[in-house]
Amino acid sequence: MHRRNIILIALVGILLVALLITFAAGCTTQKTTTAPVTTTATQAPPKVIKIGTIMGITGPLSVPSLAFNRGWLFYADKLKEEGGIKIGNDRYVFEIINEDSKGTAEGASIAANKLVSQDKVKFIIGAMLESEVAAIYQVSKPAGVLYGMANVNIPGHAVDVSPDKPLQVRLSIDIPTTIPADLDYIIKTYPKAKTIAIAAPDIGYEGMIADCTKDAQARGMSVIFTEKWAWGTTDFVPTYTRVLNSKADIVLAMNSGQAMDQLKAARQLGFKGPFISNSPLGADVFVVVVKDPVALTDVLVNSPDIDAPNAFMKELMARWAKKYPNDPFVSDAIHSYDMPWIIAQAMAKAQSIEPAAVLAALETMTTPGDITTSLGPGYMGGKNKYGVNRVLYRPLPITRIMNGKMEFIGFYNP
Amino acid sequence: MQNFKEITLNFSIDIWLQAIANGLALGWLYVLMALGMMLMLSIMGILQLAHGEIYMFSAYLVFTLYSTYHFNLYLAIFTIMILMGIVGLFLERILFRPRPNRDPVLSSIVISVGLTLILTSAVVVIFGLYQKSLPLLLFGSFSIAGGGVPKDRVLAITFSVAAIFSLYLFLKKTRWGQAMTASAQNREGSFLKGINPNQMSMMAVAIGCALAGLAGGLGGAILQIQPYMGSLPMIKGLVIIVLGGLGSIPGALAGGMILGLIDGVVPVIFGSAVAAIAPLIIVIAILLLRPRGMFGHD
Repeated sequence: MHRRNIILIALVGILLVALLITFAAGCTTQKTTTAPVTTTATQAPPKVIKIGTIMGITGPLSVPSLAFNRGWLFYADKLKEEGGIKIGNDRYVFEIINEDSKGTAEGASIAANKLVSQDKVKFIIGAMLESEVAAIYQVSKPAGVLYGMANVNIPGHAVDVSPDKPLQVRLSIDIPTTIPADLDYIIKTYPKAKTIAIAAPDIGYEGMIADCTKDAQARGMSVIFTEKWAWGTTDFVPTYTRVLNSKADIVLAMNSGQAMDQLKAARQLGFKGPFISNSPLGADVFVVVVKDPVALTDVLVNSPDIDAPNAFMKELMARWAKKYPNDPFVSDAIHSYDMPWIIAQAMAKAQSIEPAAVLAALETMTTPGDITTSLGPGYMGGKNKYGVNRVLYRPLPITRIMNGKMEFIGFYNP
Repeated sequence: MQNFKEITLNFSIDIWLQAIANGLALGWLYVLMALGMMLMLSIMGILQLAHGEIYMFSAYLVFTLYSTYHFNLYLAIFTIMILMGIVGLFLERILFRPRPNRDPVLSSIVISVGLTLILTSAVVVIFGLYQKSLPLLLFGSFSIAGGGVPKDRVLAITFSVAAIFSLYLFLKKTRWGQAMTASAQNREGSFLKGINPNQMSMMAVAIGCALAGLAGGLGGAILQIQPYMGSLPMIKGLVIIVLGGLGSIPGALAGGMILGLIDGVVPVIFGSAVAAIAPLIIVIAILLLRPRGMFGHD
């Protein structure tokens, strides 16, 4: 009798836990589809180029990281549907292999080693942090793999592109170029706002802070307070208690994938002035995470307006909606979608899939329009600043959020 | 270089109030975790290492009720608190109840580590690694002394205090609560008095999980929801138990307040660099003076 009771109770308990899990899973069923490869009966199937991607899917940057992953996969799907890139007599499609760096250099190194030695990739794209970039390049370079940086927080950092780093290219824009555009808009729209408080992660943003200070002074404004918060912070109320103590007119959340959490904290503490986020973090992410229309007022972000999408954005959003119907679209996917696309354009120009040849082709694509991006004509530049033409330049979007609604302001050409 | 007086006087009273309110909100969340773990440790003699994951899982369940089933946020938190209490009954019966031929300490550690892995993996599989967010408990701030004290923190403090006060009344004024207290003080003696130790264990785990469920719902609304959010509150809970003294509810309250105020005030007044080491230094200092904890006894 005793044993039977135990079995009965155990079964009920397991059933209860299973019900909880099923109930919780009710909202998160995801349909995964694979795009058909269109080949005719007489055409050989396209060859596959493996592209490894590394992002911090776990950790404080999980939201943009996951969106980046999906953007890469969507491009691979599109390329397959189009039949691949034609190089010589062959056609090539991409196989994207996603790895998680966990937001650490060690994780990035492990991921890079796996991609290079086990998966035998020829190209790696990814990483948000300078420490991860350094770890990846240490693995990719000796293996002859072309590494496309997905982001740099501190342009000109030791890990950034330079003449002594063959096989490294930056497939993302210079973040500091957003500051002059944002400040010009602030002057026009909030003429009484003159003082700025900056909240920046403590990962070496001193150069950007100094540049921002100069840009502000040139416009008759001043940076009156800077607060560096520890990487890994999840509760921004203490940080913003200090920031708002400065009584600045404007708050700038400098290049942070957690700017939406910072906005929440700032508004919760009573800050009503303009809030600038100069990272590519999407305005849609702010709207989804922050939710409150009162908080989502007078917010300026450097991301495109998904409420008024161009043709490229519409197609990407349609893919997302089909594959992830229960997840709101995250516009970071637009930036990442472009990255393998840029590689493909360089391959087509080089008529080669060899990393060195692809990089050489990229370095010749230096006229606006040589590269097509989702946000307009792009090109590779940076020779004057970095010694090599290996940095992506393209139009910078500015979007304002008012009462929870996104308003696209326009593009700024750096 | 600024001295201590200059640093602290740089901040007006409203900033201090904001920092204290934030600290108290965090502190009470830690106390909810600590009390749950302390009940299980005192009555059952086990260290429930998956308590942080119960907190985390509860946050995700609140998110599900809110976003998928459109529950009111407060109702969702209350519902999950009750539900986790019921789950606790089954966890005790199936996993944590002492068995013959099984080392109670080692088996509880192994089981709770396994439960940690199961819950974390389940959450990752079901919800993905995406950070989730709940709306604020209450938007805006109370205007006090010229500054804004966030309303959501004040509300979190209120709910936590209400829950802990209810627990206190239960333990002091009800027969079952007094039986639990007796069982915590002397398991064998209370058994001889006719108190069923298995019932006491079930109640301890149920109450512990309910408190973790409440903490998870409140924590999810204040901070972000992600699969690894449970480890820090669990560690804080352990520190509070050590600081306050094992088995002492006043000790847990005092320890929670100290830790919460450190976490709330030090980063604001002294910056994040000092905030990283200050809690450790203060905890070590207290333990050097009172090795059994502030309210601990032999």
